[in-house]
Amino acid sequence: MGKRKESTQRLEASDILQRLSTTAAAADAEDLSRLAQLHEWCEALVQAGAARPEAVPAEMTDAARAIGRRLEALILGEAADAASAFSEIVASIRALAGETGPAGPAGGGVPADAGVASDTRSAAAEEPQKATGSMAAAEPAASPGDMTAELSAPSGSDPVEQAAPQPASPEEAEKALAEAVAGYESVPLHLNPAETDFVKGFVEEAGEHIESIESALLEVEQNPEDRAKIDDLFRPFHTIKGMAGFLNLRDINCLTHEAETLLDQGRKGVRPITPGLIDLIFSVVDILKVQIAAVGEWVARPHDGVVPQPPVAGMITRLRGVVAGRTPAPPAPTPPGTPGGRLGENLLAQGAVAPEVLEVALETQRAARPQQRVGEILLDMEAVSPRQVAHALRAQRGVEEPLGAAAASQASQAARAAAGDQSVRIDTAKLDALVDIVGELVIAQTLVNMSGTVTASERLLKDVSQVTKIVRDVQELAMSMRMLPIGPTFQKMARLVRDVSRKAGKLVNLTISGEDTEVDKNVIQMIGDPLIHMVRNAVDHGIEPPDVRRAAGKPEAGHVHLDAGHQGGNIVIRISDDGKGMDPAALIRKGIEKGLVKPGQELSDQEAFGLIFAPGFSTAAVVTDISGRGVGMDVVRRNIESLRGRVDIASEPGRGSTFTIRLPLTLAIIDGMVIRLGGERLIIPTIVIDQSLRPRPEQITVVQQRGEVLNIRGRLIPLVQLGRLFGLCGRLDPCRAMVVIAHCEGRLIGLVVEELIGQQQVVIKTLGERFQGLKGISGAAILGDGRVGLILEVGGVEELHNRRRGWADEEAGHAARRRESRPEPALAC
Amino acid sequence: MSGLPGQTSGAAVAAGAVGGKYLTFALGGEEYGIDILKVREILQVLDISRVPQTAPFMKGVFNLRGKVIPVVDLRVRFGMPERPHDDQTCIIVVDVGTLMGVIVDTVRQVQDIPASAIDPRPSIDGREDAGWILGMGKADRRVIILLDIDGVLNAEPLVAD
Repeated sequence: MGKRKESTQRLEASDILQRLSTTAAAADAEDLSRLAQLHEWCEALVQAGAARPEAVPAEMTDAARAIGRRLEALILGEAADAASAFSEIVASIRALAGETGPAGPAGGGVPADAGVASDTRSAAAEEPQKATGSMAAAEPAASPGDMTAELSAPSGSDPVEQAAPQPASPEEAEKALAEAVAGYESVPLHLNPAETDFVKGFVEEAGEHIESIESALLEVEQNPEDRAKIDDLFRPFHTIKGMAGFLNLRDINCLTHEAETLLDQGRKGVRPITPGLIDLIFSVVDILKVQIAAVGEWVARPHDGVVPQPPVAGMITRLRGVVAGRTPAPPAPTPPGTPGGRLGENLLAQGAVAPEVLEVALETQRAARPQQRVGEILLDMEAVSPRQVAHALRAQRGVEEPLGAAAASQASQAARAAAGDQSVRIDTAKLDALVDIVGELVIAQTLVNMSGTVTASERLLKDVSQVTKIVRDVQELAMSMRMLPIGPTFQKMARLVRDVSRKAGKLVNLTISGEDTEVDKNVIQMIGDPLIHMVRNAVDHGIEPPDVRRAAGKPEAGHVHLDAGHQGGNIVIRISDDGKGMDPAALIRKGIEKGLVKPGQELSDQEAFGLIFAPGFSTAAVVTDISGRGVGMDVVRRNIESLRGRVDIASEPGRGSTFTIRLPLTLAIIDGMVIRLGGERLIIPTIVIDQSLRPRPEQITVVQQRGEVLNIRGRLIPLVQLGRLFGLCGRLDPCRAMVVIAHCEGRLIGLVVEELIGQQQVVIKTLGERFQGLKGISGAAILGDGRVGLILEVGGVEELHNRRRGWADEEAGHAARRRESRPEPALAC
Repeated sequence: MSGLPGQTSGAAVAAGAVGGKYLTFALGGEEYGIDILKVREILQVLDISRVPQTAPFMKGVFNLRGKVIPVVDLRVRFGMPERPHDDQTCIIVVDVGTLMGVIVDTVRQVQDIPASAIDPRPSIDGREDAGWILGMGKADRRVIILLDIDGVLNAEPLVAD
């Protein structure tokens, strides 16, 4: 609060008044720090008045001084009745700030809740109300200081514990009541860019509280009598109110205050919780979300000006009316649907969800998650809102019928789905940093392990081994923190399949397996689009129309299957279909047509399949709007390779195809083979390695325009003299060195290296922007001895190799006297 | 770099150097200075891993407590002949937007050079590297060539084809 002290000097009177008013709204008789703040501002106002009498009217200065004195008394505990003294002060402040109110500067005799958002009001409103079944019985509750004949107290009411002082006159009491439902006036909101961090924190926390509110609402819907559940509803509102008050977010503060008041009546048993009330709170939440979103937008771009806010005067006024008993909460007609009926059907009856969407959810439930409730699945899909689920549950209950066990568990599961699991929100940057540092820890640990001093002492070695084990556990834990199950990503495909198959006029069933497989959060985000493309492709191009399938003796409905699993330190995702498969010959023909393949060029089946990833390639006779234009698949491969993964294709014409995507488990750490070359050490990601060998001389031939080629069981694999390519050393004799055969976009190339050092996991360090154009190197890693090893990227290596070959060929072509006047650079390896 | 202050022609550009503290080092018989505020660390030269397809003055990268930092050989950068590293050779890590290291023959000291002791840089026809000289500082009868280290390190791409 010290920060505020300096700034108060410079505030304008109007600012001071606004802050006085807001803080008063958020404070209560015991809140010493806020009382002190109010006092400070009264002082500031007095000073402002003294310094600039023309800007601040004398009455205002006097009033401020008087209020300040009363505040002092209150703070020092000299007030006889703290609560009433406080209410008077608040009323006076409101009057001072020019808000509607009868209180003059003398501030005497004003009833407690003169339209002020203080907690004493709820105490005053705490009359035993008519215990009617619903608020539809529009009997106004007794107002505080109920003296006037116009208001009828409910018969048989007990004496109310009056927190408010007796009003001086019936007229003032009436005025007070009118104020209680007086219109609320919003003030333009200004936020201080210096406080952006605080506000950001507020936005994040408020979001979480809103989630709890929504889930609590569903629980309360099921158990309106359960006070504990109403408590769960009350508390988040109270918390948001406090935070908003602290940050001068007046509209949010006042809205949540009214809601809190209402709920407080509920949890004290003074007001029954009715469906109408629940709907009202849902509406409050809707508005609250918009308010918080508006603040969230300011956080993204902080500025000094007015922050646009949604209009809340209407809702606040209405809530005040309900609290004061003036306005009834709307009766909620039972939503359409059958009591005891199934949740899904009730949602349909409400019109909350389209039949097709419900079908998808049921399908997902049947195929993948038989133990999950439909309501939960729909909430996960974000196809319905918690409010709609609440209504469906209400219909299911019928309003009078007792709860069925199924309905209750559905409600709580839906509530759980809405609230999410018990979890903590963490900045992903922190997680990245953690993984990075743990990587360093592992390296440092290795150095210690290798130290001579350690190995010499058995006792020390034992202790150090223990540490090693623990460090390794920490590493696994750190890496697992970023892991999420791939299930939800797969489940999104169900809807996609339904849409695409319908559009394409085909029948397709989608099944999934391995949804519990955990993958790095980043990978999940980036694999989404490629998966969508490939599933689309399978349905659009792979599966045949029902009549074609029938004619081929296949079941009319095609089958697409998604599978995920871990294999050898990678995650493997398979998309398979039982469609018409791909014919390598047909693909090659198309490739020649498109100029991607030279006539007579030999392509393996894998390479032929790989053609579908080439830009501009599409075998569809008619370009469909779904996946036509051949744009999708090349992006798919690029995405996957940017994730340091690879995709392989297997296919049988007439039977179907399987796309296999291999990805590293996390993006930060890579499993690599360390090799020595020209005094340097390089790392080849194991995901691309097919095999390593030392070839025999008879396996090597020289092919024209292709250079050295390795022959392995009939397959010709071009050899790349990596050392020479990178300027690290001269040509190496493959038969006295090692050849690492690597996958490169469906092709294979052989990298000639000096020696294989070993396989290990390394933390990837980027080289930075200055190295953007670097081909063949994707990053760096710090090896066990602290030196840097560069990580190889085979695509770039191949490109470099071809370019150099192209130059060499050109020279050879010019030097020799050949028929070809313009030798072409070698295309595919 | 043989232009002496006395030889400045009328077309000398205004000094870009501000008075302050400079880290001075030796390179090829001359003494140079870098604004001390840009210096992060000084280390003895250690294992540098070569990076293929980079400019000749890009010696490679090294590991600085977990960060991979590129290193430039200033001799090569300034067109001087290379010389083998000895125990005097140092890497100065500077912050020019990102961290980079420069290899120098030996590091001298932190020198206080007031603005009054700085002459504007000489305009030497045809020599592009004159652009990296902020000015000529004088201290104890020595001439210190004050470098615009950002210009030296950022002007040209590190990756060469």
